[in-house]
Amino acid sequence: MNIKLSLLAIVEILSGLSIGVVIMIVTYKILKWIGRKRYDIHQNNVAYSIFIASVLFSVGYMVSGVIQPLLSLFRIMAASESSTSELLFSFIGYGAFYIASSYTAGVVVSLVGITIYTGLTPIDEFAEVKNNNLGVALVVGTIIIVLTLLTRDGVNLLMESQIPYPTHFTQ
Amino acid sequence: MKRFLKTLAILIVIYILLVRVISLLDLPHQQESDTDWEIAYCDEYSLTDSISQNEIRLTHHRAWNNYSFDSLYCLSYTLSSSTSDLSKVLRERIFPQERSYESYWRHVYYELHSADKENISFLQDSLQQVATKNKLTRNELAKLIVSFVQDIPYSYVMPGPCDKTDHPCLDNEKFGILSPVEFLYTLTGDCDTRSVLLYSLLKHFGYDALIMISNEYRHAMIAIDLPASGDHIIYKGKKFYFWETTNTGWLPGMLPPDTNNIAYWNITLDHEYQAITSRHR
Repeated sequence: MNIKLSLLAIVEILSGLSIGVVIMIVTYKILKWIGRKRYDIHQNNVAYSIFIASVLFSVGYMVSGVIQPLLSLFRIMAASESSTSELLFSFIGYGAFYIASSYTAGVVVSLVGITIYTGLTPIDEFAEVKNNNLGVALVVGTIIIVLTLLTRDGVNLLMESQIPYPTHFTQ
Repeated sequence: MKRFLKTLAILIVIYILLVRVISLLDLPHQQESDTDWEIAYCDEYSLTDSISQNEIRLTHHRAWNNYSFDSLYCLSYTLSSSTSDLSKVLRERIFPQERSYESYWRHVYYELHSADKENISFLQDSLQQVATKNKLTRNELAKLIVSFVQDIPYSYVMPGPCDKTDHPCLDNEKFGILSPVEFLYTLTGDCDTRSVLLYSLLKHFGYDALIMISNEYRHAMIAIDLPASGDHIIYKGKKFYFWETTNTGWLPGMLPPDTNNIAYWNITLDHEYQAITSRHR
Protein backbone atom coordinates (compact mmCIF):
# COMPACT_ATOMS: atom_id res chain seq x y z
CA MET A 1 0.00 0.00 0.00
CA ASN A 2 1.29 3.45 -0.92
CA ILE A 3 0.67 5.35 2.33
CA LYS A 4 1.68 8.77 0.98
CA LEU A 5 -0.68 8.42 -1.96
CA SER A 6 -3.49 7.20 0.30
CA LEU A 7 -3.02 10.23 2.54
CA LEU A 8 -3.07 12.52 -0.48
CA ALA A 9 -6.31 10.86 -1.57
CA ILE A 10 -7.78 11.47 1.90
CA VAL A 11 -6.69 15.13 1.69
CA GLU A 12 -8.47 15.33 -1.67
CA ILE A 13 -11.65 13.72 -0.29
CA LEU A 14 -11.71 15.88 2.84
CA SER A 15 -10.94 19.06 0.86
CA GLY A 16 -13.66 18.27 -1.68
CA LEU A 17 -16.17 17.38 1.01
CA SER A 18 -15.58 20.47 3.14
CA ILE A 19 -15.44 22.83 0.16
CA GLY A 20 -18.56 21.27 -1.34
CA VAL A 21 -20.58 21.45 1.88
CA VAL A 22 -19.63 25.10 2.53
CA ILE A 23 -20.32 26.20 -1.03
CA MET A 24 -23.65 24.44 -1.33
CA ILE A 25 -24.92 25.69 2.04
CA VAL A 26 -23.79 29.29 1.44
CA THR A 27 -25.25 29.41 -2.07
CA TYR A 28 -28.53 27.82 -1.03
CA LYS A 29 -28.95 30.18 1.94
CA ILE A 30 -28.17 33.27 -0.15
CA LEU A 31 -30.61 32.28 -2.92
CA LYS A 32 -33.33 31.44 -0.40
CA TRP A 33 -32.77 34.76 1.32
CA ILE A 34 -32.87 36.72 -1.96
CA GLY A 35 -36.00 34.88 -3.06
CA ARG A 36 -37.76 35.57 0.20
CA LYS A 37 -36.69 39.19 0.74
CA ARG A 38 -36.63 40.53 -2.80
CA TYR A 39 -39.17 38.49 -4.71
CA ASP A 40 -41.35 37.30 -1.86
CA ILE A 41 -40.94 33.66 -2.88
CA HIS A 42 -41.76 31.21 -0.13
CA GLN A 43 -42.09 27.43 0.23
CA ASN A 44 -43.50 25.07 -2.41
CA ASN A 45 -42.30 27.04 -5.42
CA VAL A 46 -41.00 24.32 -7.76
CA ALA A 47 -39.92 26.82 -10.42
CA TYR A 48 -37.67 28.68 -7.98
CA SER A 49 -36.28 25.34 -6.73
CA ILE A 50 -35.32 24.47 -10.33
CA PHE A 51 -33.58 27.83 -10.62
CA ILE A 52 -31.71 27.26 -7.32
CA ALA A 53 -30.71 23.76 -8.44
CA SER A 54 -29.20 25.07 -11.67
CA VAL A 55 -27.24 27.77 -9.83
CA LEU A 56 -26.00 25.17 -7.31
CA PHE A 57 -24.85 22.93 -10.16
CA SER A 58 -23.21 25.88 -11.91
CA VAL A 59 -21.27 27.01 -8.87
CA GLY A 60 -20.37 23.46 -7.79
CA TYR A 61 -19.16 22.47 -11.26
CA MET A 62 -17.10 25.66 -11.56
CA VAL A 63 -15.45 25.15 -8.18
CA SER A 64 -14.81 21.43 -8.79
CA GLY A 65 -12.30 22.43 -11.48
CA VAL A 66 -10.15 24.09 -8.82
CA ILE A 67 -9.56 20.93 -6.77
CA GLN A 68 -6.93 19.45 -9.09
CA PRO A 69 -4.88 22.67 -9.49
CA LEU A 70 -5.07 23.07 -5.72
CA LEU A 71 -3.63 19.59 -5.20
CA SER A 72 -0.86 20.41 -7.68
CA LEU A 73 -0.17 23.55 -5.67
CA PHE A 74 -0.05 21.47 -2.49
CA ARG A 75 2.46 19.08 -4.06
CA ILE A 76 4.63 21.96 -5.26
CA MET A 77 4.51 23.67 -1.88
CA ALA A 78 5.24 20.42 -0.05
CA ALA A 79 8.61 20.27 -1.82
CA SER A 80 9.58 23.78 -0.73
CA GLU A 81 11.63 24.74 2.28
CA SER A 82 8.83 25.48 4.72
CA SER A 83 7.54 24.02 7.95
CA THR A 84 4.33 21.99 8.16
CA SER A 85 2.43 24.86 9.81
CA GLU A 86 3.60 27.35 7.16
CA LEU A 87 2.62 24.88 4.47
CA LEU A 88 -0.86 24.42 5.94
CA PHE A 89 -1.33 28.15 6.39
CA SER A 90 -0.25 28.87 2.79
CA PHE A 91 -2.33 26.01 1.41
CA ILE A 92 -5.49 27.11 3.18
CA GLY A 93 -4.81 30.75 2.16
CA TYR A 94 -4.24 29.91 -1.50
CA GLY A 95 -7.15 27.46 -1.40
CA ALA A 96 -9.53 30.08 -0.04
CA PHE A 97 -8.43 32.53 -2.72
CA TYR A 98 -8.84 30.09 -5.62
CA ILE A 99 -12.15 28.75 -4.38
CA ALA A 100 -13.51 32.25 -3.77
CA SER A 101 -12.39 33.26 -7.27
CA SER A 102 -14.00 30.30 -9.01
CA TYR A 103 -17.11 30.65 -6.83
CA THR A 104 -17.39 34.28 -7.91
CA ALA A 105 -16.93 33.20 -11.51
CA GLY A 106 -19.77 30.67 -11.12
CA VAL A 107 -22.08 33.29 -9.62
CA VAL A 108 -21.16 35.85 -12.31
CA VAL A 109 -21.87 33.32 -15.07
CA SER A 110 -25.28 32.60 -13.53
CA LEU A 111 -26.08 36.30 -13.28
CA VAL A 112 -24.92 36.96 -16.85
CA GLY A 113 -27.07 34.06 -18.04
CA ILE A 114 -30.16 35.41 -16.36
CA THR A 115 -29.48 38.99 -17.48
CA ILE A 116 -29.01 37.95 -21.12
CA TYR A 117 -32.17 35.87 -21.15
CA THR A 118 -34.18 38.58 -19.42
CA GLY A 119 -32.89 41.19 -21.88
CA LEU A 120 -33.75 39.08 -24.92
CA THR A 121 -37.29 38.18 -23.96
CA PRO A 122 -40.28 40.47 -23.42
CA ILE A 123 -41.42 38.68 -20.27
CA ASP A 124 -40.24 39.20 -16.71
CA GLU A 125 -38.59 35.89 -15.88
CA PHE A 126 -38.56 36.37 -12.15
CA ALA A 127 -42.22 37.25 -12.10
CA GLU A 128 -42.85 34.00 -14.02
CA VAL A 129 -40.66 32.01 -11.65
CA LYS A 130 -42.45 33.60 -8.74
CA ASN A 131 -45.72 32.44 -10.33
CA ASN A 132 -44.28 28.91 -10.44
CA ASN A 133 -43.89 28.85 -14.24
CA LEU A 134 -41.90 25.64 -14.70
CA GLY A 135 -41.19 26.22 -18.41
CA VAL A 136 -39.41 29.53 -17.79
CA ALA A 137 -37.51 28.09 -14.82
CA LEU A 138 -36.26 25.16 -16.93
CA VAL A 139 -35.09 27.44 -19.75
CA VAL A 140 -33.30 29.86 -17.39
CA GLY A 141 -31.71 26.92 -15.55
CA THR A 142 -30.54 25.37 -18.80
CA ILE A 143 -28.99 28.67 -19.93
CA ILE A 144 -27.07 28.92 -16.67
CA ILE A 145 -25.80 25.34 -16.97
CA VAL A 146 -24.77 25.68 -20.62
CA LEU A 147 -22.91 28.93 -19.92
CA THR A 148 -21.11 27.21 -17.05
CA LEU A 149 -20.08 24.29 -19.26
CA LEU A 150 -18.79 26.71 -21.89
CA THR A 151 -16.83 28.96 -19.55
CA ARG A 152 -15.46 26.45 -17.05
CA ASP A 153 -12.26 25.62 -18.98
CA GLY A 154 -11.44 29.32 -19.34
CA VAL A 155 -12.01 29.96 -15.64
CA ASN A 156 -9.88 26.94 -14.72
CA LEU A 157 -7.08 28.12 -16.98
CA LEU A 158 -7.28 31.52 -15.31
CA MET A 159 -6.99 29.84 -11.91
CA GLU A 160 -4.12 27.62 -13.08
CA SER A 161 -2.25 30.64 -14.40
CA GLN A 162 -2.11 31.93 -10.80
CA ILE A 163 -0.47 28.74 -9.51
CA PRO A 164 3.31 29.08 -9.15
CA TYR A 165 4.22 26.18 -11.44
CA PRO A 166 7.89 25.82 -12.35
CA THR A 167 8.84 27.23 -15.74
CA HIS A 168 9.09 24.92 -18.72
CA PHE A 169 10.65 25.29 -22.13
CA THR A 170 9.44 24.51 -25.63
CA GLN A 171 10.81 25.08 -29.09
CA MET B 1 -29.11 28.96 14.64
CA LYS B 2 -28.77 25.50 16.18
CA ARG B 3 -28.51 23.94 12.74
CA PHE B 4 -25.91 26.49 11.70
CA LEU B 5 -23.78 25.70 14.76
CA LYS B 6 -24.08 21.99 14.03
CA THR B 7 -22.88 22.54 10.43
CA LEU B 8 -20.04 24.70 11.68
CA ALA B 9 -19.01 21.99 14.13
CA ILE B 10 -18.98 19.38 11.35
CA LEU B 11 -16.81 21.63 9.20
CA ILE B 12 -14.39 22.24 12.06
CA VAL B 13 -14.11 18.47 12.58
CA ILE B 14 -13.40 18.00 8.86
CA TYR B 15 -10.69 20.66 8.98
CA ILE B 16 -9.10 19.15 12.06
CA LEU B 17 -9.04 15.79 10.26
CA LEU B 18 -7.52 17.47 7.21
CA VAL B 19 -4.80 19.09 9.28
CA ARG B 20 -4.05 15.78 10.99
CA VAL B 21 -3.83 13.93 7.68
CA ILE B 22 -1.58 16.58 6.14
CA SER B 23 0.71 16.47 9.14
CA LEU B 24 0.97 12.68 8.68
CA LEU B 25 2.35 13.17 5.20
CA ASP B 26 6.07 12.75 5.04
CA LEU B 27 6.87 16.40 4.43
CA PRO B 28 10.45 17.64 4.28
CA HIS B 29 11.84 18.55 7.70
CA GLN B 30 14.44 21.15 8.40
CA GLN B 31 16.89 19.14 10.41
CA GLU B 32 20.52 18.18 10.51
CA SER B 33 21.03 15.05 8.47
CA ASP B 34 23.38 13.20 6.20
CA THR B 35 22.19 15.60 3.51
CA ASP B 36 24.27 18.43 5.00
CA TRP B 37 27.34 16.28 4.77
CA GLU B 38 26.43 15.25 1.25
CA ILE B 39 25.87 18.86 0.15
CA ALA B 40 29.49 19.61 1.00
CA TYR B 41 30.79 16.73 -1.10
CA CYS B 42 28.10 16.44 -3.74
CA ASP B 43 28.80 18.96 -6.42
CA GLU B 44 28.25 19.42 -10.14
CA TYR B 45 31.28 19.59 -12.35
CA SER B 46 32.77 17.91 -15.40
CA LEU B 47 36.32 16.68 -15.88
CA THR B 48 37.94 16.29 -19.29
CA ASP B 49 40.62 13.71 -19.87
CA SER B 50 42.47 13.28 -23.17
CA ILE B 51 42.91 9.65 -24.11
CA SER B 52 44.47 10.26 -27.48
CA GLN B 53 44.74 13.05 -30.00
CA ASN B 54 41.24 12.42 -31.33
CA GLU B 55 39.52 11.10 -28.29
CA ILE B 56 38.63 12.66 -24.99
CA ARG B 57 36.86 11.25 -21.98
CA LEU B 58 34.37 13.28 -20.01
CA THR B 59 33.41 12.58 -16.42
CA HIS B 60 30.23 14.31 -15.34
CA HIS B 61 29.45 14.67 -11.66
CA ARG B 62 25.77 15.40 -11.20
CA ALA B 63 23.94 16.51 -8.05
CA TRP B 64 20.23 17.05 -7.92
CA ASN B 65 17.21 17.33 -5.64
CA ASN B 66 14.44 14.78 -5.91
CA TYR B 67 11.43 17.14 -5.60
CA SER B 68 12.33 18.09 -2.08
CA PHE B 69 14.92 20.55 -0.79
CA ASP B 70 16.19 17.98 1.74
CA SER B 71 16.81 15.10 -0.66
CA LEU B 72 20.06 15.57 -2.51
CA TYR B 73 21.42 12.81 -4.69
CA CYS B 74 24.60 12.62 -6.66
CA LEU B 75 26.25 10.33 -9.14
CA SER B 76 29.03 10.46 -11.69
CA TYR B 77 29.65 8.77 -15.00
CA THR B 78 32.31 8.75 -17.69
CA LEU B 79 31.76 8.75 -21.44
CA SER B 80 34.24 8.90 -24.27
CA SER B 81 33.89 11.09 -27.33
CA SER B 82 34.14 8.01 -29.57
CA THR B 83 30.99 6.52 -27.99
CA SER B 84 29.15 9.77 -28.50
CA ASP B 85 30.43 10.12 -32.07
CA LEU B 86 29.35 6.58 -32.91
CA SER B 87 25.90 7.32 -31.55
CA LYS B 88 25.75 10.44 -33.70
CA VAL B 89 26.67 8.43 -36.80
CA LEU B 90 23.87 5.97 -36.05
CA ARG B 91 21.43 8.84 -35.57
CA GLU B 92 22.38 10.34 -38.90
CA ARG B 93 21.73 7.00 -40.59
CA ILE B 94 18.08 6.99 -39.62
CA PHE B 95 15.83 7.59 -42.61
CA PRO B 96 12.18 7.52 -41.64
CA GLN B 97 9.87 7.11 -44.61
CA GLU B 98 6.61 7.37 -42.75
CA ARG B 99 4.37 10.21 -43.77
CA SER B 100 2.30 10.89 -40.70
CA TYR B 101 3.74 13.10 -37.98
CA GLU B 102 3.47 10.50 -35.21
CA SER B 103 4.77 7.59 -37.31
CA TYR B 104 7.73 9.63 -38.50
CA TRP B 105 8.80 10.51 -34.97
CA ARG B 106 7.98 7.02 -33.68
CA HIS B 107 10.53 5.65 -36.11
CA VAL B 108 13.16 8.21 -35.09
CA TYR B 109 12.61 7.79 -31.35
CA TYR B 110 12.52 4.02 -31.49
CA GLU B 111 15.73 3.85 -33.52
CA LEU B 112 17.48 6.19 -31.07
CA HIS B 113 16.28 4.13 -28.13
CA SER B 114 17.26 0.82 -29.74
CA ALA B 115 20.71 2.04 -30.71
CA ASP B 116 21.63 3.37 -27.27
CA LYS B 117 19.75 1.26 -24.76
CA GLU B 118 22.79 -0.93 -24.08
CA ASN B 119 25.18 2.02 -24.08
CA ILE B 120 23.54 3.77 -21.17
CA SER B 121 23.82 0.82 -18.79
CA PHE B 122 26.39 2.78 -16.74
CA LEU B 123 23.68 5.32 -15.89
CA GLN B 124 21.10 2.62 -15.17
CA ASP B 125 23.56 0.99 -12.75
CA SER B 126 24.37 4.30 -11.06
CA LEU B 127 20.71 5.18 -10.61
CA GLN B 128 20.03 1.69 -9.25
CA GLN B 129 22.85 2.14 -6.75
CA VAL B 130 21.42 5.48 -5.58
CA ALA B 131 17.98 3.90 -5.26
CA THR B 132 19.29 0.91 -3.31
CA LYS B 133 21.41 3.09 -1.01
CA ASN B 134 18.44 5.34 -0.22
CA LYS B 135 15.92 2.47 -0.08
CA LEU B 136 13.66 4.15 -2.59
CA THR B 137 10.23 2.79 -3.41
CA ARG B 138 9.07 2.21 -7.00
CA ASN B 139 7.43 5.64 -7.13
CA GLU B 140 10.48 7.32 -5.66
CA LEU B 141 12.78 5.57 -8.12
CA ALA B 142 10.72 6.96 -11.02
CA LYS B 143 10.98 10.43 -9.49
CA LEU B 144 14.73 9.97 -9.01
CA ILE B 145 15.18 9.09 -12.69
CA VAL B 146 13.01 11.89 -14.03
CA SER B 147 14.41 14.51 -11.65
CA PHE B 148 17.93 13.53 -12.74
CA VAL B 149 17.05 14.42 -16.33
CA GLN B 150 15.01 17.50 -15.37
CA ASP B 151 18.02 18.87 -13.51
CA ILE B 152 20.14 19.00 -16.68
CA PRO B 153 19.78 22.58 -17.98
CA TYR B 154 17.61 23.00 -21.06
CA SER B 155 19.22 23.65 -24.45
CA TYR B 156 17.78 23.97 -27.92
CA VAL B 157 18.74 21.36 -30.48
CA MET B 158 17.90 22.65 -33.93
CA PRO B 159 17.79 20.87 -37.29
CA GLY B 160 18.94 24.12 -38.92
CA PRO B 161 20.66 27.29 -37.74
CA CYS B 162 19.94 28.59 -34.25
CA ASP B 163 17.66 31.59 -34.05
CA LYS B 164 17.04 31.62 -30.31
CA THR B 165 19.24 33.09 -27.64
CA ASP B 166 17.44 32.49 -24.34
CA HIS B 167 19.11 29.09 -23.88
CA PRO B 168 22.24 27.46 -25.26
CA CYS B 169 21.59 26.16 -28.74
CA LEU B 170 23.05 23.35 -30.82
CA ASP B 171 22.53 23.91 -34.52
CA ASN B 172 22.33 21.71 -37.62
CA GLU B 173 21.62 18.43 -35.82
CA LYS B 174 19.66 15.95 -37.90
CA PHE B 175 16.01 15.77 -36.73
CA GLY B 176 16.74 18.48 -34.13
CA ILE B 177 17.39 15.82 -31.52
CA LEU B 178 20.33 14.12 -29.83
CA SER B 179 20.59 10.45 -29.00
CA PRO B 180 20.60 9.40 -25.31
CA VAL B 181 24.38 8.88 -25.35
CA GLU B 182 25.02 12.22 -27.05
CA PHE B 183 22.75 13.92 -24.53
CA LEU B 184 24.57 12.38 -21.59
CA TYR B 185 27.93 13.24 -23.12
CA THR B 186 27.15 16.88 -23.99
CA LEU B 187 24.49 17.54 -21.31
CA THR B 188 22.66 19.39 -24.04
CA GLY B 189 19.09 18.46 -24.73
CA ASP B 190 15.68 19.74 -25.65
CA CYS B 191 12.27 18.25 -24.87
CA ASP B 192 12.33 15.21 -27.15
CA THR B 193 15.99 14.45 -26.49
CA ARG B 194 15.11 14.21 -22.80
CA SER B 195 11.99 12.19 -23.49
CA VAL B 196 13.88 9.53 -25.46
CA LEU B 197 16.50 9.14 -22.72
CA LEU B 198 13.78 8.90 -20.08
CA TYR B 199 11.82 6.40 -22.15
CA SER B 200 14.92 4.17 -22.33
CA LEU B 201 15.71 4.52 -18.64
CA LEU B 202 12.14 3.99 -17.46
CA LYS B 203 11.65 1.03 -19.78
CA HIS B 204 14.82 -0.54 -18.41
CA PHE B 205 13.50 -0.23 -14.85
CA GLY B 206 10.20 -1.85 -15.83
CA TYR B 207 7.94 1.20 -15.99
CA ASP B 208 5.29 1.61 -18.64
CA ALA B 209 6.17 4.91 -20.26
CA LEU B 210 5.01 6.72 -23.38
CA ILE B 211 6.59 9.49 -25.40
CA MET B 212 3.96 12.14 -26.04
CA ILE B 213 4.37 14.80 -28.70
CA SER B 214 2.33 17.78 -29.72
CA ASN B 215 2.69 19.39 -33.10
CA GLU B 216 0.49 22.28 -31.95
CA TYR B 217 2.59 23.05 -28.89
CA ARG B 218 5.91 22.07 -30.55
CA HIS B 219 6.69 20.08 -27.45
CA ALA B 220 7.36 16.56 -26.19
CA MET B 221 7.23 14.90 -22.80
CA ILE B 222 6.71 11.51 -21.26
CA ALA B 223 3.64 9.93 -19.72
CA ILE B 224 3.92 7.16 -17.17
CA ASP B 225 1.68 4.58 -15.57
CA LEU B 226 2.20 5.36 -11.89
CA PRO B 227 -0.22 5.86 -9.01
CA ALA B 228 -0.65 9.65 -9.15
CA SER B 229 -3.31 12.27 -9.73
CA GLY B 230 -3.80 15.03 -12.26
CA ASP B 231 -3.51 15.30 -16.04
CA HIS B 232 -3.47 11.92 -17.72
CA ILE B 233 -4.56 9.90 -20.71
CA ILE B 234 -6.08 6.45 -20.63
CA TYR B 235 -4.30 4.06 -22.96
CA LYS B 236 -4.90 0.32 -23.18
CA GLY B 237 -6.91 0.50 -19.97
CA LYS B 238 -4.15 2.18 -17.96
CA LYS B 239 -3.79 5.74 -16.77
CA PHE B 240 -0.64 7.45 -17.99
CA TYR B 241 0.24 10.69 -16.24
CA PHE B 242 1.98 13.46 -18.15
CA TRP B 243 5.43 14.39 -16.89
CA GLU B 244 7.20 17.54 -18.06
CA THR B 245 10.95 17.03 -18.43
CA THR B 246 12.45 20.39 -19.36
CA ASN B 247 12.83 21.85 -15.88
CA THR B 248 12.96 20.82 -12.25
CA GLY B 249 9.90 20.73 -10.00
CA TRP B 250 7.41 19.15 -12.40
CA LEU B 251 5.64 16.13 -10.96
CA PRO B 252 3.61 13.43 -12.73
CA GLY B 253 0.11 14.63 -13.58
CA MET B 254 1.06 18.29 -13.98
CA LEU B 255 0.67 19.64 -17.48
CA PRO B 256 1.90 23.23 -17.85
CA PRO B 257 -1.18 25.48 -18.16
CA ASP B 258 -0.13 26.71 -21.62
CA THR B 259 0.08 23.17 -23.01
CA ASN B 260 -2.79 21.56 -21.12
CA ASN B 261 -5.21 20.72 -23.93
CA ILE B 262 -4.94 16.93 -23.92
CA ALA B 263 -6.52 16.74 -27.38
CA TYR B 264 -3.31 18.24 -28.79
CA TRP B 265 -1.13 15.50 -27.34
CA ASN B 266 -0.47 12.27 -29.22
CA ILE B 267 1.24 9.05 -28.23
CA THR B 268 4.30 8.63 -30.38
CA LEU B 269 6.06 5.70 -28.82
CA ASP B 270 4.46 3.32 -26.37
CA HIS B 271 6.11 0.94 -23.95
CA GLU B 272 5.11 -2.13 -25.96
CA TYR B 273 6.23 -0.90 -29.37
CA GLN B 274 8.53 -3.23 -31.27
CA ALA B 275 9.77 -2.41 -34.74
CA ILE B 276 9.42 -5.39 -37.09
CA THR B 277 12.74 -4.74 -38.76
CA SER B 278 15.43 -2.21 -38.32
CA ARG B 279 16.09 -1.57 -41.98
CA HIS B 280 18.80 1.02 -41.86
CA ARG B 281 21.21 -0.57 -39.48
